[in-house]
Amino acid sequence: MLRYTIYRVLQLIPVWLLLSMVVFAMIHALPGDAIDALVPADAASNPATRAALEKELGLDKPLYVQYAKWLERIVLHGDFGRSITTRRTISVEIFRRLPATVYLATTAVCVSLLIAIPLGTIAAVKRRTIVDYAATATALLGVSVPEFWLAILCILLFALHLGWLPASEYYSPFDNLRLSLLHMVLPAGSLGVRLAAITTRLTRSSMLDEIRKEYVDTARSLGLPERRVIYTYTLRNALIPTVTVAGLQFARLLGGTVVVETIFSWPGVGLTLYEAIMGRDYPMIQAAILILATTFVMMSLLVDLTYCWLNPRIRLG
Amino acid sequence: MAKATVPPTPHTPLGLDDFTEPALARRWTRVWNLLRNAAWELWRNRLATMGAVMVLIIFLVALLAPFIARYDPVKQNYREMLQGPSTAHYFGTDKFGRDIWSRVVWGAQRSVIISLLAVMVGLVCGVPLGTLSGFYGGKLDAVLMRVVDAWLAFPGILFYLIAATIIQAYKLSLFWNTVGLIIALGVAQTPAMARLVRGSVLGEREKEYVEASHVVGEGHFYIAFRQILPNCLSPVIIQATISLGVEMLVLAALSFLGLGAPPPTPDWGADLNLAREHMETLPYLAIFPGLAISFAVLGFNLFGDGLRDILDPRLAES
Repeated sequence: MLRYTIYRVLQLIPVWLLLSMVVFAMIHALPGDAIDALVPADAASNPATRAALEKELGLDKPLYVQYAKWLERIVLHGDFGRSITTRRTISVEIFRRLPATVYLATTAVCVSLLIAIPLGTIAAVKRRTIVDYAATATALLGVSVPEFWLAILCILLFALHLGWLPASEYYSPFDNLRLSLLHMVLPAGSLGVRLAAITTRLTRSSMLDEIRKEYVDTARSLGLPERRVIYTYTLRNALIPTVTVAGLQFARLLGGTVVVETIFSWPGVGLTLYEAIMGRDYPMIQAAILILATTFVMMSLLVDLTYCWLNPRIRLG
Repeated sequence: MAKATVPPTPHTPLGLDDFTEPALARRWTRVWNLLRNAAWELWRNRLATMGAVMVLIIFLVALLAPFIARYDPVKQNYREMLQGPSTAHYFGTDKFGRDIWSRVVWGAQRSVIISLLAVMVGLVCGVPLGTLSGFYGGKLDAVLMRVVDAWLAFPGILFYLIAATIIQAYKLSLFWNTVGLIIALGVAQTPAMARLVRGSVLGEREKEYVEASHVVGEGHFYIAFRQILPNCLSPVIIQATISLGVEMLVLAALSFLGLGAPPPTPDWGADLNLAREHMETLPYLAIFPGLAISFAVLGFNLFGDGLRDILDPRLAES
């Protein structure tokens, strides 16, 4: 297990380097000079200051030197530079907003698991009954509906029409738990429904596979109550892929909440990325994408290792 | 030499006695029978039929857009702005006075074209890559799969955001903007397709007919692309169908964020974004474009699932 872990961690390094190259190349793929993307417009208008800035930022050096310097700054000093629009330090901005995104992602995944596991299990156990068809139909609908439309519909229904739930503002759970959860329901719900749809289908098929296995018949023939057979033994094994996928979904959410955060004005990294894109704040875009992608890659690795640990057949076979 | 004619028999229901090559006649009959079987299987699976019908509706709407749309989707008409659904405007009008029904219909054309072409780009790039990788194996396979893994490690939406931001920065005409989007979406599909094909090819490679072909002295490309690949196409077709739906969702999300097409272009995601301003007063503005997206994606998902049941029962959820 340790060898496999080390192997996977080492494999991570070239992947991350490739990632960083893509993010770095983004600035140079834009039209016009790189200097226009990196400094505020007023600072780069004067040709003299322009040349001076180019020298200072190292833009006159060859690309690989620039990349090496950029990488060194990030990895060794954690310095992403300053945002063009807000003139604040980027790393401070992003890490200040990261908790909100993590909170949203965690709650969404929890909601999805709370819905999907029971639904998928019951659909598998009561195969081809009305429950199964209803669950499968709902799952299919959930997968097909765009999450930002679902978010808008939820706002229309629950916030505007019924007035039950608020549609914006963020409260940290450490400050005020009740308000925090109240404001969390709609964003996490919209995200969670789609995740739940995917996980339900997976849980259902996974349970269907498990129920066919021989140990289930053995348990039944031993006279164990059906409920215990299903929930204590079969479910535990069937949940391994579900948990893995949930972990991966959490990892993807950390990068993919841009749209939902925009709709609910949720102050997370996704909203920062969106504002940076709208404001053409390229250093911020670069930094946000790199941080999100790194988080995703590391979390995927963690999930893979956990899956290996849970399922000895993978690591031994 | 006298040309042989084939009299119409029960085996050639189309009366293919005009063909002078009996082999050709047999081949066409086989294809026809295959299609008949597929249609019957599809019909048996009600959900898949529904999916097929939905897909057909979307394609027809996209194709007949100039005839179905009643007004110009781009022209502003402030006298009729912000009206509810009525007989004059089926879906109502938006804040510029544009007919929403027309915008949805033209948006369907845009979505279908972009998704279709993107999936085709993904197929054209990914399938040969996967075939060669699976067929030759060894170093080529190792390197390519490493690259594919690295690619798949990157969260998709971030790549789309980067690509879309760069495309937007160039301020291209609508045509080149769309081409750029199609290429970006297609290229993002390539690793998944390549991996899928590679897996199938690896499985087929060990079979006896491949060995027989090698022995007879057929060229590598012939074996790989004319003999192995046709047997590996089922998962590819299924994946392609479902990808059509996924691409539509991605396109809608990008347009929603303002990264799709420049403003007056009718686009489902962009219309949803415009609708956000009027959520309190005119909810229907947000309902119809979203309904269109959901309808299309649901159709592709149902159809893809149905195809999976027909083409590869082993993959089917029972």
